[in-house]
Order: sequence, then C-alpha cells, then structure tokens
Amino acid sequence: MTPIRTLRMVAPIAATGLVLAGCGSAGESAADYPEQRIDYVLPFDPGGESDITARLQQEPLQEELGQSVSISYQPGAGGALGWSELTRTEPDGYTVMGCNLPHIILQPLLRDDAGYETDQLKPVYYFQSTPNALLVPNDSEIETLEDFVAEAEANPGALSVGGSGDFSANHIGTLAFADAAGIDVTYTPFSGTGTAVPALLGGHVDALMSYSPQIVQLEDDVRAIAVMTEERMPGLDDVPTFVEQDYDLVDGAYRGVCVPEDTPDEVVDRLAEVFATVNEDPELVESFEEQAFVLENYDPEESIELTDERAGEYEDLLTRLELMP
Amino acid sequence: MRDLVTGVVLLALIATFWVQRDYRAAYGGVLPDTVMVLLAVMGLTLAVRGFLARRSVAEETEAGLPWRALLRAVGLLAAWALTLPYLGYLAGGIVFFTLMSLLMRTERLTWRGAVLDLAVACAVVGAFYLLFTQVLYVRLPQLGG
Amino acid sequence: MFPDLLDGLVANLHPAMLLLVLVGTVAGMAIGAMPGLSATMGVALLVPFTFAMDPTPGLVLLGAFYMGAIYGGSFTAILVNAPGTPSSIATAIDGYEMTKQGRSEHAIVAATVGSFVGGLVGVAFLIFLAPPLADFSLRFGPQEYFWVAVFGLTIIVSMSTGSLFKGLIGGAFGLLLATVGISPVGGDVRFTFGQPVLQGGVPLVPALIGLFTIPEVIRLVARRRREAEMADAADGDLQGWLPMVKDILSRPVNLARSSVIGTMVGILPGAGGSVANLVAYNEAKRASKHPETFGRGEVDGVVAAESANNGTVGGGFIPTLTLGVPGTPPDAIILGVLLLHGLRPGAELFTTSGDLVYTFIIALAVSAVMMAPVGLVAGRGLQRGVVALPVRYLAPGIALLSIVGAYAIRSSVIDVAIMLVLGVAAYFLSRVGIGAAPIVLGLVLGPILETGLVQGMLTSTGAAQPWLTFFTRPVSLVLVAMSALALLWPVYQARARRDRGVPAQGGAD
Repeated sequence: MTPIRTLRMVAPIAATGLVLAGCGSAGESAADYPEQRIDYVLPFDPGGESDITARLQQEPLQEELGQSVSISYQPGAGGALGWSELTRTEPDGYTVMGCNLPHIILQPLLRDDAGYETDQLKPVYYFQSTPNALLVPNDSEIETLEDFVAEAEANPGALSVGGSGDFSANHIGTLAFADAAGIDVTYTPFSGTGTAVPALLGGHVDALMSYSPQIVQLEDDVRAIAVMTEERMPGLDDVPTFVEQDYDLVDGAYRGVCVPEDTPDEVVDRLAEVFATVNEDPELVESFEEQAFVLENYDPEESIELTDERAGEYEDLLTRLELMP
Repeated sequence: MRDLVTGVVLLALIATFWVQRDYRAAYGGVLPDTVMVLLAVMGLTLAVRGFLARRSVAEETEAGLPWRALLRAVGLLAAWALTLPYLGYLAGGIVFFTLMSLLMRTERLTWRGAVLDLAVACAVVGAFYLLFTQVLYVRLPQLGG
Repeated sequence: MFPDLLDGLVANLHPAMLLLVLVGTVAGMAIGAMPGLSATMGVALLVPFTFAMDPTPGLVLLGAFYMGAIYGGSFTAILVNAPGTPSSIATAIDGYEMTKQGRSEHAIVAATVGSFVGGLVGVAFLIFLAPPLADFSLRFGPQEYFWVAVFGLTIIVSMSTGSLFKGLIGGAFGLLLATVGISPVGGDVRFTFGQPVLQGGVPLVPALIGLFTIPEVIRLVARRRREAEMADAADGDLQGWLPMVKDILSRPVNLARSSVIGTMVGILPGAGGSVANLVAYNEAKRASKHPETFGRGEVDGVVAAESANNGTVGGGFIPTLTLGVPGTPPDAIILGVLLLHGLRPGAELFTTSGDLVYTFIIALAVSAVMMAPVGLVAGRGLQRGVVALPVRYLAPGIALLSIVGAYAIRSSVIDVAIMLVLGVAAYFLSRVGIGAAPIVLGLVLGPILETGLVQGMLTSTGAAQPWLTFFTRPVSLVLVAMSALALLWPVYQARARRDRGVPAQGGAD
C-alpha cells in the first residue's frame, strides 16, 4: 500500500480515537466539585431496601449537587464485589457506593479474601438504619420473647431462625441474642428478606430475625416479639424492645454511602453536607418513618467511630463463639 | 477420539476444582462434592468409551470447521474483548466491526468495500453507543480505560 | 372487586392511557430484543423515568414494559440464537432451528401468538385467583424448592437431542459452574481460583450469551456465510402470517397448558421466568404426538416457551401484590416502586387502592393484546431485516450487542471475558455433542437446588432425621412423583413408539 493509501485507511480510525480521547474526563479540582454526573452505585440487586432508599434520595441529591445522579447496580457476593471494585475506582468523588454495616466489617473479617478491607472504604454518611426485629407467625404458640427462650431451652438447636444473608445484621443479631440468652438456635440464611418472609409465612421456619420495616409491611401476618432499639419505635408502640426485656441488644443494618479511601477530604465533606441536607427532605423523612426505617445522621468522623465500635463488638462476640477464622 | 479428549479435559477441570475444596459452612460441601464425583465418573466413562472406540470412524456431530477459519473467528473476538478496556466500546467497536466485516468478505477486497465496511461500522457502533449511553444511561467502557 | 375492575377497564380505554401502554410495550419489546438486556435490567433502567409521573401511569408504564420485554426476548432468541433473557432459552432451541430452515417468520408468529395468550392467561389468574394461589405459593418451603430444581433438571432428559449421556454431562458441568463463587447458603467462598472477582460466581446473562450466541458468531465468522438454508424461505411451509396464526390456534391445548404452567411457576418466588419456559417446553414435548421433532424446529416448542414466559408476568404479580414477596426479579423492582409511593402490598392494596391496582393489572392485559399487532409488524420486519442483512455485518453486529449485554449488568469487562471463554468452550463442546441447553439448565438450577437442600436441612434440625423431611411433606411428594414421571416418561414413549414401528428419536433421516 502506498503511504497515502495507508493514511486514508488509518486516518478515520485514528481521528475517531483522538476525538474520543479528548472527550475523556480531565482531572477535576476539588473546589469545583461536582462538575459532572455522579454515579450512585448499589452493590446489590435492584428492588431491595438500599434501592428504594437510593431512589428516594436521588432527586434531592440532584437538586443539592446541581448534577445528575445515576443509579446503577453491581451485585454479587453479598455486596463484596461492589465494595472490592470501589477500592479500584478513581477517588474523585464521582462514584459513591452504598455501604452497609455490618457487611463491610464482617466480610473482610470472616472471608480469606473479600477483595477489600474495611478501612479501604471511606464512609461519607450513614443515613439510615433498620434495627433487627424478631418475628414469629401470628398463629405461632410463641407469644413473647420469654416463650421463645423457653422453647429454645427445651429443644436446643431445634428452633430455626431465618434471616437475610450470611454474616449480615440478621445473622450476627441472632448469634448475639442466642449468646445473651444462653440458648441454641439454628440460623438459616436466605438470599434476602424477600425470600425469608414467605418461609416464615409458610411455616417453614419457626421465627425470623428480620428488619423493622417488615413489621410494618407484614402487619397482622406476623407477631413482632422484640426489636433491637434503645426505645420502642414510633408507630410501633406495642413492639417491645430487647432492652426492656433485659437483653442489652441494640443493633441492625446501617446504610450509608462511602467512597474510595483516597478521596480528598473536601469532596467527602461536601458529599456529607449534601446527604445531611437530603436527610432532612420532608418527603424522604416521611417515607422512612412510614416504612419503619430509622433516620440516622452519622457524618464522616462519626461514621468511622461507629464502624470501629461495631467492629470491636463483633470481634468480641465472634471470638467468644469461636467463629473467628 | 474426541470423547477421549473431552473426558480427560473434564477430569482435569474437576481436579482443579477438587484441590480448592475448603468448606466451612454447614452442609457446604454436599452439593459441590456430589456434582464433582458424578461428573468425574461421567468424564471417566466418556474417556474410556472414547479410548475403546478410537479406531472406529469418528461420529461427527458437527462438520468440523477448518482450523484457520476458527482461529480467525476466535482470535478476532478475543482481541476485541482484550482491548475493550483500553480502546473502549466506541473506538474498539468501530475497529473490530470493520475488521470483522473485512475479514468475512469472500470476494476480493476493494477500497470501496473497505470504506463501506468502515462507514457501516461507524454508523452502527455509533448508534448503539449513543443509544446506550445517552438514552439508557448504561455505562460503557471508555477509551483509555 | 368488580366495580374496581370495571373502573380499571374504563381507565385503560382512555386514549392517553392506551398510548402509554403502547409506548411501554414497544419500548419493552425493543429492550427485551437486545441480547443481554434482560427484562429486569430494562425495568430498572425505566424506573427513574417514572418518578416524574403519578403512581398509576408510572406503574402502568413499568408493567407494559415488563410484558413487552419478556416477549421481545423471543426475537433475538429465534433470529440469532441469543436468548435476550433466561426466559427465552427454550424459545431459542426450536426457534433458531426454524430460522436455520428458513422458517423464521413462522417462529416469530408463533412467539407472538404464544406470548399474547400467555400474557392474558397470566393476568386472568392474577385477577381472579390471586389470593388462593398466593396462599398456595407459601406452601413451598426449602424442601419443595429442592424438588422443583430436581424436576427442572429432569428436563435435561428431553432437552438432549442427541445422546442423553452427553446431555447429563452438560447438566453436571452447568451445576459445577454454578458452585463457583460464594455459596448461596453459608457464605463459603468456593472455587474462585484466587480471583476475588469470581466470588460473585459465573454471572447468568454473560453465561447465557456466551453459551448460546458466541458459538453462532464463531460459526458465522469462520464460515463467512450462513447455513445454506437460512436465506431461502422454505417451500412447503405456510406462507403469510394469517395461516400461521390459524395453525397455531388450531392447537389450543398446548397454548393453554403452557400458559398455565407459566403462570403457576411464576408464582413461586425465586423459580420464576427462567424455569417456566423450560418446564412448559418439556411438557409440550411429552404431550406431543411427535416428540422427536422437538429441538429440530418444532413450532409447538416455540409456542410453549413463549406462552409460559409471558404467563409468568401475571403469575409473578400474584405473590408480589398479595404478599409483598416478589415472584420474579422485575417484580422486585416494581414492588420497590410501589413501596416508594407508599403503597403496601396485601389484601388492603386491592381495597384501598383498588383503582390503581386494577388499572395496572388491566394494563398488563392491554399490553399483551397490543403485543400481537406490534409484534407481527415489528417482529416480522426485524426478521426480514436480519435475514436480508449481509452476514459480514450480521456477525459483528451480534458481537457488538453481545458485548454490551455481557458488560452492562455489572459494568464489568471480566463478564465479557467470561462470556467469551464460555462461548469458545461451548463451541467445542457442541462439536463433541454436548449442547448448551443442559449446561444453562444446570447453571440456573444449581443455586436453587443447593439452597433448597441446605436450607431444608437447617430448618429441620429439630427433627429426628432432617433429610427425611424431604420425603414426608405433601407438596414435596407430589414434586418427587412428577420428577420420577418426567424421568420415566421418555423411556416409555420411546418404547411405545418402537412398538408402533415409528423411527426412534435421532434416527437416520
């Protein structure tokens, strides 16, 4: 081929390439953040509790940030795939990922290689929690927590307690409760709340350690015999807490967002501000309360404290139960 | 002969799985172990059958394709996939769409044909790219990774 | 119920609403038709658009989209052997064969009629039988799901168009692939070869594209032409869509049975659409007077698969709306939207928000009705386009879509690599006589099988012999019987045909 012909062949392809390269994002200075679209990634399948929350936040976020926020999903390994991918993402603040406690504590703790370490995820804000709630079918013979404990003592290991996921809040909550009450129950993990609930309703498990929104969602079909909050939840006055029944258990799943570890502090603070404001959005607040989500407000520093505190407790519990690898 | 090779490959594959066994959860190994054992037995049977029948005329379940053609096909696809993180969807797509069309031409290659293929590639890949990124908000690999 | 039902019907006849349903249906069909873009993903992408809308139109749009997407998956399944979603696997088996024989138009028409009927049947069940069926679905516990998966695996027996033994190998291979990653119950990290990215396991859609579509692309590129028969319309086949429609409607039993199967399987959370089409296909083959034609371009197979998968749309909403338990993955998303608007599923949803609920449900039916004319026009147009397209543009075009399909779900290049690796493997496996369908079956059913097994053992820890509970529960026993029947029936069929002097399956032509 003559050089000119070669050029004519190659030129269009090269030109396209150059144009596209030029369109790539240049480095942004933190002071002008945000200057383009933000990716709000959820490390779970669409349709879950994290998804609903993210959707509720999307519009207020867009208003506050002045940029569009696009929600996408990276499910797998109970969230680990997403979190591990986050550690390899540009720490420019344009990717925020949903973060869940205790998952991000327990996964690196208990798996040989979760693909990430807890402190590689820099928390921006924890805005919501769903406390654990112990549920039984409404036609169950078990009417109170005492009944439950008695039943468990009479038949060690026979009571099956379902929950969402392995080494999730439900799971560790069950372990903590069993430890505190000195009983032996069998935790049965389900792929999510969506599959655990029919198991309870169909009588295939004896009880469910689930999250508070399920109390509201399932209403008369279940009986909530205890919830892991400091005080009784608003709107759920007749659900006793573990605390008032002499079990010092306050725990659940915390939902927030985090960014890669090296994200500049100014960006993190700006994001935290925004999420804090969004958390005051009246529609959001109302929706949360209606569904028995608990509004939380942990800013970046407080989030780290929360994480460390929970991590300490879990490590103690797991060591006591000889479940640490 | 094919059966023999397949059987052996299968057994090798199972071996790579078997050495990674490390079950901690309750009943965690029941299904994987059962499947591996079953598959190993079947693989062995297949290999033995293949060995015993190796002299007889191979039953062709599908007319074999010439090696070079296969290599061309697989090679193109592999190259496309491997360069995807670097070239991105748009540039990589245009390059390989064009290449594939060019290499699939059965009559002699002309300049007109090449330019046509390139044009089609740009149009098609461009359209898809815009559709997915602008209309559907699907993230696609970008040039430069 | 009836006043609300009537209101819902009237609401749907409003021109604005009809337009909305049409837009949703067509958009759904378009997305479903793209290999790799599943209905689930499409619905998830659509959700932000509905935020600007009131709940009723928003939900109607999502529902119509969902119905259309499940139907749309049949197009690429038939035309290029790329099941757009796992719901169209069985469609691809016979549909693509028909395309190779030049009968793709017939296949498209079959898929349209099947989807139309299936969609309506599913909605009818939803309207009239939701509460009792929802309660029935609750009786399926872990043990029952285990047996459902076993029953699903027995389909391999009829799927294997060649050697049964090789089909079993394929199925077992699929099961093995399914064990890669975090175990569904217990959280063990298994067989990741040291790669954290494999902790998520072998992702289904890239695997689907890899196992079905990539080998075809390889063949196209290597051969540089289609299979000889593809271009010419087959003589002796029906000409024109109307005779084709009449032909399909002349066998209503298949349509009805498959639609009901689809609806019923859709009711089971977790089993859902991917299994329904396979079960219906299997049953159609068993009930057929000429089962040996299945897998070779039997139109009844396409009809069965498509009726079933559109039946899952209506069926899946039964537990979703009455129990708040999503029947299929898109249901989970739509449920999320419901919750977002403060609407809680349950009996009271039908009473307090009856107008919204019934408008939504009727819209599903309207969508199914609209699919027919739209599909006949668009589907056949697409079919003509694909057939007319030169192979050297068709192949890279399919490759382009396959890459998006594999990449888009998790924004992962690794998924593209997995697709390719499995594709090459599938090509060579098919040369040995091991087909892709049993592998996919194993891949899809593996997690359901294992989850049922382990959960069943765990929840019955209190019983004397936990494993016995798999055999003592009434629903389980029925499923065991069905599985046994499914295994033995083909043997019986073969023997009966031999006695009658009919050529055996796979005999020389």
